[in-house]
Amino acid sequence: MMQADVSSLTRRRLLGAGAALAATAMLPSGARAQGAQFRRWEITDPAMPPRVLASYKTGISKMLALPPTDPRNWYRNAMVHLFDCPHGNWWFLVWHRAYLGWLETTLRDLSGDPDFALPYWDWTKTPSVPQAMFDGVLDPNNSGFIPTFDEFSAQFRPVVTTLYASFSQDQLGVLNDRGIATADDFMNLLPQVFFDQPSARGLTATNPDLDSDTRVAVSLPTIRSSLRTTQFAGDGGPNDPAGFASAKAPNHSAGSTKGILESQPHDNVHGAMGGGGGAFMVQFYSPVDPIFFLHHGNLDRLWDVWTRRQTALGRPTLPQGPDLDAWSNEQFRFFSNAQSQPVTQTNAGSYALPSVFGYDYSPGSGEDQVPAAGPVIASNPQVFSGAVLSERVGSSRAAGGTVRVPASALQAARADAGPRVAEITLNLTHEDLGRRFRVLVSPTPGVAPLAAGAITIFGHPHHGPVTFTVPLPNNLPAAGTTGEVSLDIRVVPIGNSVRPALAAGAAPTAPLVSGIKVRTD
Amino acid sequence: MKRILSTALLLAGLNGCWTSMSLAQQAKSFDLSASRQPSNGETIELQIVTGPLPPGAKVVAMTAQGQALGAIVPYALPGRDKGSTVTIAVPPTALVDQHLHLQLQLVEPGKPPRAPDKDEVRGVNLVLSPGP
Repeated sequence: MMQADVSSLTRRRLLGAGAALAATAMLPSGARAQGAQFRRWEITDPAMPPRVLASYKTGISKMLALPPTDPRNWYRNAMVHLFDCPHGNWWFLVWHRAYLGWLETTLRDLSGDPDFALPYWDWTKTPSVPQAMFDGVLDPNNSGFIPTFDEFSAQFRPVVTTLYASFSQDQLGVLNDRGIATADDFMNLLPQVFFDQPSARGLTATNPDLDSDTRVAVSLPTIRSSLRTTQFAGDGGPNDPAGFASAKAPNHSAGSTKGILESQPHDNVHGAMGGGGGAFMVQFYSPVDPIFFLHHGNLDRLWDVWTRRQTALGRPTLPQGPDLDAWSNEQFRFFSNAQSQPVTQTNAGSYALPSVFGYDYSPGSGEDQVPAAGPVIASNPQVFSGAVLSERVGSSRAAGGTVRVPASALQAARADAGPRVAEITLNLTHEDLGRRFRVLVSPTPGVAPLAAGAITIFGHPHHGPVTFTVPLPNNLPAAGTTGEVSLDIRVVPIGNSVRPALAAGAAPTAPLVSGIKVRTD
Repeated sequence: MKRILSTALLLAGLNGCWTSMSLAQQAKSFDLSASRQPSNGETIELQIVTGPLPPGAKVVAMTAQGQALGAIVPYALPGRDKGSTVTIAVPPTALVDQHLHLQLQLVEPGKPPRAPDKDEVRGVNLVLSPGP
C-alpha cells in the first residue's frame, strides 16, 4: 500500500513547487499530472473504472462496521469535521484537502483496492445528485447507516466521553474556541446535526435536482468568477476582497470573509442537499453523507485549477511573505491515518499541493480558465446609460441624447476586444413597420457626427419598446483622450420615414426614443 | 496597501435609508455604486454581512431586473452562527453606470418570501478585487 509521504514538506519546498506546477500547467486534458499515482475521476465520466464506486462502497461498509472506539469508524471520521473544520477563512481549502486525503488512504487500505481514489462530483456539469450516489451505502438513508439519533447516542456517548478525556490541551483549546469544550457540550450539539432516516439526505433518486439558486451558485459564470480571483486570500478587513480561498483569520476556528468559491458553490450545495428540509449535508456532521467527499473533491479540484491558472499567468499560488508562514504553520490536530494513528503532518503547509497524496483529477468544469502561455488581457464589459434629451423623431428631426463613458472604456485594448455598441430603445407602434433610421455619434456634443449604423424596422409587427444594437465607430474617442467622453447619440430618419401619426400633426402617444445605453467589452 | 477603493456601504438598517419596497415587502432594495471605474483587470464583488438567519433560511440576491446573482446559505455550528461575510460575483453586465440595483429576499421553508430585517442583513458592500 502506498503511504503518502508528507512529512518533509517545508517552506522551501512550497516555494519551489511553483516550478513543478509550471511544468504541469499545460498538460493535455487526458494526461496525468507529473508524478500522480492516483486519479480522482468525475463520477459521471464514462471513462471512470467501475471499481472506483465498488471500492468506495466496500470501504464505507468496512468503516461503518468498525467499533465506535476506532478512529476509522465512519461516524468517528465525520466527528473530526465537527471538532476541527475551518470555514470562512483561508484554511478552508487546505484543511479539507487533508481531510479527504487521509480518508482516501484509509479507504484504499480497507477496500483492498491499491489504486483507489475518491471520485468527485462536478456539479457545474451535473447540477443534480448523480444517480450512482443513491446506490447502497453511498446513500446515508441505506440500512448500513445508524437510522436514529437515539441508537447513535447509545453507541457513541461513552466513546465521546473517553475521547474528550484523551484530548491534548492543544486539542481542547480548539474545541473551546468552537464552543464544544466538554463532552457534554458536544453531545448536546449532536441532536442538532444528526438526521434520522429517511431525512439523512433530503434529495432523492426521483428528486435529485439542485434548486434554482444553487444552480446559479454552481454555474460556469460563477465558477469562472471564482477562478479569476487573483489573490489566494484577502486581508479580512470589512472592505477587503476575500480572495480565492477565503480571507485571513487569526486561527482556523475563527471566521473571516468567505470567497466566492466558499460562499456560493460550497455553501449552497450543502444547503441544497436537504431538498428544503433537513439532511446531514446541511450541518457540520455532513461527512456522514458519502457525497460530502465528492462535493469537496470538486472544490479541491477547482483549487488545483486555480493554482495551475495562477502558475500559467506567473502569479502567486500561495500567501506571500510572512503570510505564508502564518498560513503554513497553522496546526491541524485531529487527523488520523489508515493505521488509526494520529498523523505527524499537522502543519497546514504540508497539504499545499495535491501531490502530497499523489492524486490528480480528470478534467472538469473551469479547466478552460487555465490559459495558454502568453499574456492575457482581462475582459471588462461595462454598461453606461444615457439621458434622452430629445424623444421624438420628426420628419427631419433627430432624437437621442448623451451617454457619459470613460475614454478608457472606448479605446480598444486588444485586437480581439469585444464590440462597443450603442443600445437604443425605440417605442414602436404597428405603423412603424418599414421605417429606417440612421444612428449618428459625436464624441462631443456639437462636433461633427460619425455614422454608426442604421436601424430598419422589419419583420413581424412591433408594438412597444424594442432595443436595437448598433456598433460604435472605431475612432471614438480621439487617441490620447482621457477622462470621460460625452457621446452624443442621435437617431435620424432616413428618406420618407415619417411616422404617420407625427406627419398628421397629432401628438405621439409614446416617446420614440426611450433609452440609450453604451455597452463595452 | 488596501486594494479596496470603492464602497457604497449601504448599511441601510443602520442609517435609516432602506429603500422603499414593492411587492408587499418581499425584498429589500439597494442602490450600490463604486467610487471609481475598475481598471487593470479589477473585478467588482458583492459582499454581504449577515447575522444569524432563521433555521433553513437563505438570502437570495438578484438585480432589480430579476437577474439572479447568488444566494447566502448559512453553514455553521448550530447555535454558534454569529453570521458571516460572504462574497457573490457580480457579472459586469449587472452594473449600469457602475451602479448595482440590488434586491435581497429572505426565503424560509414553508413561508412566503420577505425582506430580510436589519439583523439578518447587516451590511451590503461593493468591493474591487485586484486584477492581475
